[in-house]
Amino acid sequence: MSRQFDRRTFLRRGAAGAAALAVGPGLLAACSTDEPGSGRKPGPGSSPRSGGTLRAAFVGGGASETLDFFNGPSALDLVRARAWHGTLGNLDPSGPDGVRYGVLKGIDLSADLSTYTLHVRPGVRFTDGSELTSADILHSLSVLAGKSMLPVYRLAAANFDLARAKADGDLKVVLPTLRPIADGRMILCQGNFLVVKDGTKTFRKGMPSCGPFRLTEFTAGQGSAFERFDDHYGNVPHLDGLELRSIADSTARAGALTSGEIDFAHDLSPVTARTLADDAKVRLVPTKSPYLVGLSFQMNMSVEPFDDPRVREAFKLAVDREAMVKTVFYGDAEIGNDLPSMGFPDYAESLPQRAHDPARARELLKEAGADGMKVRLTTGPETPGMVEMATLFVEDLKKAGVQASVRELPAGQLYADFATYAALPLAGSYQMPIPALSTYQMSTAGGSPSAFGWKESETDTLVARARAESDRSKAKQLGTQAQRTRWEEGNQVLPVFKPNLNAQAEGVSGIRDDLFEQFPGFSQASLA
Amino acid sequence: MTTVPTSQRRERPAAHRTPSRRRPPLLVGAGTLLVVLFALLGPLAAPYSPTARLAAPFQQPDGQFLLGTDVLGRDVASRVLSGGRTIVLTALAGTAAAGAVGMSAGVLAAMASRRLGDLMVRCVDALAVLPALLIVLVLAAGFPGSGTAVVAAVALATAPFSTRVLRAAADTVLTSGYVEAALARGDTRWAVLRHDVLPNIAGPALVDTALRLVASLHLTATAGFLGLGQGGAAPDWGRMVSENVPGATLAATPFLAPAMLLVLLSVCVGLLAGRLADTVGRGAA
Repeated sequence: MSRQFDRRTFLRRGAAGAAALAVGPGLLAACSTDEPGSGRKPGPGSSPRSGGTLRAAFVGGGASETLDFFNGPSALDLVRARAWHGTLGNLDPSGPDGVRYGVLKGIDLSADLSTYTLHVRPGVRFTDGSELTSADILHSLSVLAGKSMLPVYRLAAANFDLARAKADGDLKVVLPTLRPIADGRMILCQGNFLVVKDGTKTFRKGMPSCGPFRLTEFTAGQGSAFERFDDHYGNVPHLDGLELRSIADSTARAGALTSGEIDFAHDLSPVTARTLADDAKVRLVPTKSPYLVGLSFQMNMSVEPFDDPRVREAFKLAVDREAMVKTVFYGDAEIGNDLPSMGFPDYAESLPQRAHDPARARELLKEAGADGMKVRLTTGPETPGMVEMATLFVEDLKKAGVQASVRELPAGQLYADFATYAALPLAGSYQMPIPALSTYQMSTAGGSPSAFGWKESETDTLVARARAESDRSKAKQLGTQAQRTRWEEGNQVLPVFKPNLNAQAEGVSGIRDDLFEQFPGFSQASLA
Repeated sequence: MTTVPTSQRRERPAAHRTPSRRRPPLLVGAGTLLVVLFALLGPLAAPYSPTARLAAPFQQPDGQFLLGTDVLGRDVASRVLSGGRTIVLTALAGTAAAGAVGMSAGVLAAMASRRLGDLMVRCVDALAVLPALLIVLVLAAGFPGSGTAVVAAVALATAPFSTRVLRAAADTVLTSGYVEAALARGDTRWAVLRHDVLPNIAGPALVDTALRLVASLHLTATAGFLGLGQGGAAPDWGRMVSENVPGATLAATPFLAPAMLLVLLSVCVGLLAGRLADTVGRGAA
């Protein structure tokens, strides 16, 4: 709200608007429906049609949007960067190492799991014609990602000794680990690690890049435009151009899609997605496992009575997972098993699915002397479905004899003061899709504040051993054992994994082929 | 401001008052009473718990759920019946607080010296410049989930106008001949306030409060729509509209029912306040 009264922002926006007017065809022309080049002629046969400009809409981040994706908090910042820059690699369950490499040819690791060697793919060119070398990767990884405060990038610093990383010739980067790990490929090739030229300090239009598209326009909070980069190292895109727009409201994104203003709408609310279900011109394309967001509730073990494992189990048994999936997501979500990272190779899928058993929950609470306990669940609308889930959870808890209530904070306040958040007795939360064990080490091990009082050095050791095990089946066994403890005694209720409910115009294809679906890439997309 | 019985109004020829405007506001009064009673007593009549998930979301109305189900599969009828109480009580509390503040500040400003009175009104004006919604948003964001914050915000947003109106009303009385006579006779200021000023501004105060109530209802409903105040599952007509509007194409009753009730409530209270103003205006003539 107060942003509207900020004179400087107002002036800046006015200037940006004037700039957009001066630029002429581009962002503004994109608003007309009959834009030439976004053609809707049916493509011949089944092979993807070349040409056209795909227009996609995202929530965006208003004036805080930035080209510096290492520090850009909104999803759109990363989506824009994925179109613009080359990537180390993406997770790909069908790939040889569980990943699909981008600007790399491959990653080798030493027998003692203490050194990773990144082999650069030869012949990768930037838009200025120069060739990508190990120096560019080293700069992006150890200087830019190493300094970033975003959790995904901190994951790199938490596992690799970035200060001791060095280039070995033009085509090799040697990356020592902090402790032996066998799953480093999964960390480096999550899709987040994008490569810019050595020495890059600021991010601006016209800087050299090696992604599938070249940025031609950018206005924070409004949109960006791209054209195809014909010397792209991988598959050259089918599209001539790409436009990424910021449309904050879910209903407005859906409206733009049904009226033909855009071809792809990102992250619709479940209700909005439902209203599109019967529209023949539009297809819902929810992200698939493992690109699912876990919606969870954290019980604080340093607050009574959550120090009692029986109470924690009762809360997990009380939740009606199926009802949540059906009611909040109209069936378009997966049932969770109180463990994060479902669908990743290190996820313990062999554990039994926890049942919905309010009677047993009641018994357990009685045994623990906590029947009739009062608890307030604090949550906020940080991602679609979060408040609705909390509302249903409280009703479930009431059925198990808990006097539960919800406290809903305004958007953006839940995590604003993290110390306060981590002291809440019962709090809503969500987990972005990242591998299970490295996530545990980063946010749950060693009594970290985000662990809500969980302090089990045995489990920590087990996870560390699993990650340092080069024998895959042995690693899996150790990892499962650690996750079983979390499943049995842990303080997280994770009833639902929800997809990003994306929708696209009929005939658009190839977006899923770009992997890393929650931040869609368009390098292989084509229009109808 | 038009509610202040000015000398102009008193001099208006009687022929302008058509018979229909003389009719006591029976119909409007009954309508208001009905909606307010519906809001206050509705929770007792709700067939189901307003917070329990009972069926699939956005079910069409049928024998079991008279108005269908809402975004989370809860009974719309029960939620509509339960959702008015918060709005009416919050608006009433906010108006009462604003009335009390406005009355005291207005009369004080009138009784004080001209310069001090002007200064007080300028301070109040500074508050009146802030958009009402901004005050509500700031307070509600500062105290998330607090109904009291909404009441305070509503009071803060409406009190400045009451202050101005009531100061003007008190001023008219204070400059009248009988007050001057009373003061000359040696009556204390307190006695003048009790016997001359308060009884004479009671009419305008009542009308002003009724008008503020309309504004308070709007603000309270807006706060609910924006998800401020009591959060979570608690039913609230304003909040119900915003919860269910995204599914408008799936089911209309979940957002139409609370929206219609809000319209009905504010129209009735608004009309009643208008009639009241007319009646009091005539009475003062």
